[in-house]
Amino acid sequence: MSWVENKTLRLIGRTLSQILYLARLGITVEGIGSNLFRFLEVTGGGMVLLIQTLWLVPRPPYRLREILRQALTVGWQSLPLIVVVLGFLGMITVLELNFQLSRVIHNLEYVPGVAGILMFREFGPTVVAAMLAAKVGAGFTAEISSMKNTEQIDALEMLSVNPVHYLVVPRFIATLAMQVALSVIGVAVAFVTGFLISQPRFNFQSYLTTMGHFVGVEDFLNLIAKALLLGAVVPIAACYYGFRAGAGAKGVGEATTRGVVTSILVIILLDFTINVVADKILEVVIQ
Amino acid sequence: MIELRDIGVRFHQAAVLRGADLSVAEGEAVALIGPSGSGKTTVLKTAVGLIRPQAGEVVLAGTNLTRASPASLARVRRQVGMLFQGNALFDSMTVLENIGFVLREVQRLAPAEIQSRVRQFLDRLHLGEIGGLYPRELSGGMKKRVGLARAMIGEPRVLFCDDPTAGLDPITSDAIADLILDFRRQFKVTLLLVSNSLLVVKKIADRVLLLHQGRLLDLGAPESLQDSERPEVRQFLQPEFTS
Amino acid sequence: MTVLTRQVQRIRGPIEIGVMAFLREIGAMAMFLAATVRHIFKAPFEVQEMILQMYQVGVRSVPIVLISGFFVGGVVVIQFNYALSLFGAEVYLGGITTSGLLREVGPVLVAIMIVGRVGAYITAELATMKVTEQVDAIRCLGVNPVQFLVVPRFLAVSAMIFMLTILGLLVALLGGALVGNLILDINLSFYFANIRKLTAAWALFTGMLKSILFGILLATIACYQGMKTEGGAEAVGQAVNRCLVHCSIAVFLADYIIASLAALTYGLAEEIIF
Ligand SMILES: Nc1ncnc2c1ncn2[C@@H]1O[C@H](COP(=O)(O)OP(=O)(O)OP(=O)(O)O)[C@@H](O)[C@H]1O
Ligand SMILES: [Mg+2]
Repeated sequence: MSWVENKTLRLIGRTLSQILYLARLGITVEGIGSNLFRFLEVTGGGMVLLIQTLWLVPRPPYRLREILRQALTVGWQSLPLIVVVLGFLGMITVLELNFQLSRVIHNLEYVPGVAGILMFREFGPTVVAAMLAAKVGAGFTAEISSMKNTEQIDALEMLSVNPVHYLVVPRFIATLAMQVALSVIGVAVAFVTGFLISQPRFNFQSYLTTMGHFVGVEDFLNLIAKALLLGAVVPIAACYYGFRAGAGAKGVGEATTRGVVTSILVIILLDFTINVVADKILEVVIQ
Repeated sequence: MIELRDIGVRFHQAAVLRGADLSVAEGEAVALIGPSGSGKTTVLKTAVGLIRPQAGEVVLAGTNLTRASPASLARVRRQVGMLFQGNALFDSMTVLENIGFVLREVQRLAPAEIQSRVRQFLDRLHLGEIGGLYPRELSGGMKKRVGLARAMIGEPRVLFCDDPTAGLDPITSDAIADLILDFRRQFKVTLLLVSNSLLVVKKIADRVLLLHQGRLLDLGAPESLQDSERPEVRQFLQPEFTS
Repeated sequence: MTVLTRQVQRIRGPIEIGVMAFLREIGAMAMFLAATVRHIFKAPFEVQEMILQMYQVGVRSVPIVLISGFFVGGVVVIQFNYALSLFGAEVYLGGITTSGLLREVGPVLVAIMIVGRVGAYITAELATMKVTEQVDAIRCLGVNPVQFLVVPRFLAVSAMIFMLTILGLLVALLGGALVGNLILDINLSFYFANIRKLTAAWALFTGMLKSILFGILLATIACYQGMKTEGGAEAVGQAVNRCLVHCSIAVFLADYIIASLAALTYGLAEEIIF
């Protein structure tokens, strides 16, 4: 018996010491320094790519067919994911609000309205953008990084075609357009599932009218504006990581994850900034 | 036509080129030999401006690439064709689209004209019926020919070939060498060729350079290679003699 | 009418195939999970490997969880403030924000942030080992690949998501309070006062339960997708892509199921009490 305990204790001790060691490795001064440096490098590089892309968007040649092809691929690939995820999200929002509002205003009549506000202003655009990062962004990164690894990007340059113009611009425009379309579709799906889950309490007419009381044109414009701003994040981050991927399958895999994680992080930061700015503007307008 | 002066290139502290000099006259064909990993591809990519050297100057077709703006770089590159070591064919495009890429995206020709010019080219390369295939459906020799066709269809004045016969059997290698020679005669291109196949080098090149410890050594005409007394050349060629 | 029936007939086939494939996938994943769990209790236990994975997936995700948690807390407080202001019920802001973050937003956020990392460090790695025949090599050496590769990763991911969720919740609550105070000018003592009134220990329990479930789901999906990869380099990319998509869906599906279970119990309680 004591033998078992000794062995177990030793195992636990070793595990703990190793965890502590690794945790320390993660937060050494050097670690923080190199992380910060990489953060600055990535932010700078991403901004440069964004500016390059915006600069090249209005410049000929316009590859309309390529844009259309990308838009169809993006939309078609991610539609099922968006429908399923936003469908669940619509129901979750209603359930959660049932719980929360019943305790605060002791009245479930307004749940559709608040759910609508949250969907339009917040969860619709952000969740759609995050899902696009996972589905579409990962694809972009993998495609471009494998093109880079097989010298196809170099070949483009040698044929005097600007890789950013040829690869990034169509993907940028297509993703932006699809982000708006998918946000609208996603919010519509969430509306339907939210209605279904609050079934016995509301009929369609009353659900719609309650929502109409709360959700106005400005919320819809908010949805579109956020979709446009957040939609720019995914293609830029994904292509950026594709262009700077390392060699081999490992390089491609790492670039893909970095692209996805960075996209979602930037989406959150940008969304926060938009909210703060909007809040301040609202304050000024009211005064 | 191609001038590299005192080029230094390093990747993460490891110096690959250290004071490499190279000068290729108009119409000349120069071969670059050297062991794997010595930096032959790096020399080629530096010469066309894909790699920016940390030191030295590159002059290609009269333009100094180290100081060139993106626009003038693009202008120079229209006179330059490059066959990459791994072919770098666009794998989302068919053979026809790959070869016609420059005509479509840069010269902006009408589809019918692109079609006829690409077909003409394919016939020359004895590639007849593969226009609709994708790169992954081709054999190594076919890919090389398609890569060569894509480099040559814009009728460049300078052609860079990175190991055009790597991994090919002797007969196919010879056919590719003939093709390059053919292009050289017809279009009067200046040629910078990387190859470690002495057969190909002897067939195509007027002059041979050896890349040794980050520098380029001029070895003169390919016929004189065997008689060279320089130790690094003998060391490099030794296995061929013994086998 | 006949046209309509024919149309229905035409789409019924693919849908049936899709549903069957879906069920088969779920079944295979459940079997995989069962095999993994069975192997957890067999010696030898790969401590080193597990700690390495905990580092890769967990410790290295700490910065992104801290940053995203803080700012999502801020976003939630701003949005709830707006929603509550429509009813003039801003006094409840602290309670509602805390409860919402603990029960709902926090666990989902952390899970989604970790999905990307899991995709690279678990699925891509296992898939690469699979397609380069390293898994076969391990088997030939008489070692069980599930025990050697899957168990440590599975435990590492499950445990780290749980711990990261605790961390993420803490910063999210902090972010909510600070943003509420700095941006929305809400009195902090006011904010904290009604947290106690509106946030029960149950909220924390729901959140923790979710994070454990998400951890198990993500770990299972990631390892499963990695281990079932066949083919070449593209297959690895496809496996990562599938892992990301399936994990995202699984998180929201599981969240929905728990939310509706919670609503059910809450509804029952309501009936009993009122
Ligand atoms: N992008 C890069 N990043 C880092 N190192 C590089 C890069 N490109 C080349 N190198 C390194 O530079 C050296 C020379 O590479 P290069 O490809 O020029 O060799 P090579 O002579 O063409 O070899 P081979 O005959 O095998 O093609 C190698 O050691 C290689 O690892
Ligand atoms: Mg090379």
